[in-house]
Amino acid sequence: MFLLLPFLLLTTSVQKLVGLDLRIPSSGDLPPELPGAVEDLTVRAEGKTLTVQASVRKSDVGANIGETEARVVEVDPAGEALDLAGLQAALRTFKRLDPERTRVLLIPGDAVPGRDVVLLMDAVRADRDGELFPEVALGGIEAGPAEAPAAPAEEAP
Amino acid sequence: MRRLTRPARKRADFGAAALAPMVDMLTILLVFLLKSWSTDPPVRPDDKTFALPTSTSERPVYTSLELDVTEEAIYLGGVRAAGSRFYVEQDETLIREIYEALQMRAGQPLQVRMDEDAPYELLRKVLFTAQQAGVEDVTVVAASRSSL
Repeated sequence: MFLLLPFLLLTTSVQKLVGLDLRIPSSGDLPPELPGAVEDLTVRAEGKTLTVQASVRKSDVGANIGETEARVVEVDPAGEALDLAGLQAALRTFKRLDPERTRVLLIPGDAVPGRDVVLLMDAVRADRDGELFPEVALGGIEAGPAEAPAAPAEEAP
Repeated sequence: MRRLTRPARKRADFGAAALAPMVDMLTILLVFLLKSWSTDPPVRPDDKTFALPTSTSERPVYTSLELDVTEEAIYLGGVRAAGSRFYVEQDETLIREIYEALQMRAGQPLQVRMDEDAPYELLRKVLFTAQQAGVEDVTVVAASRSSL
């Protein structure tokens, strides 16, 4: 122990890095999710205000097959910060509706800083009660086939 | 004889009593160090304003091509490739300065190390460029909450 402690103290780095895997939704190679009660689930962030949008299949007797209803939950900021607990509570209700669903689309506003993006990615993955939606896709990235940028115009002789 | 041996026994008792809390303390320190121990090199040590966002994730980061996004510039493999302000102010989504370099490394994993104050707009454009260049495996790097 007396040898291990100085070794660890001397070799350890101040900062430990971790990675957050990303899915880019427009890449077109994402496997489809199993159909469940929640068809689409999107979290939008504008400033500190969060909006959870979901398409939930109707389970009424009179509803047609595949008919969905849009549900929107607004999560207001908690003071100056994001209300992550409120977001997780809203997501937990959708997780209870469709426990098999693992994917969520996160669309932060352009001005949202990186620290809030990572906070949101952490918050939608899991809460105190367990896993929520671990497959996070970042949105706002335009879809479309890969196109090479136009070559710079040749200078006139 | 009893008088001679008694003080020695007291000293031994005192030493044993003091050793136990010290071993406990060192064990706690050892566990803490083992939990937070890492050999990750510092990110952009020359840039004092750069700070990674903090995450609760525990997934380790593997060595791959590094793309740093700061409020001032975008660095690819540690070399400045483009200015950030231009791409924040302009609507252009494709970052041409890194497009070709990423295209040459298509198929390789990419680490995006973003400053915690950099706007999402920059990350969005970087991801779009990576996607267009054929990069599929993208990881956002953050600092662990268990960092020292």
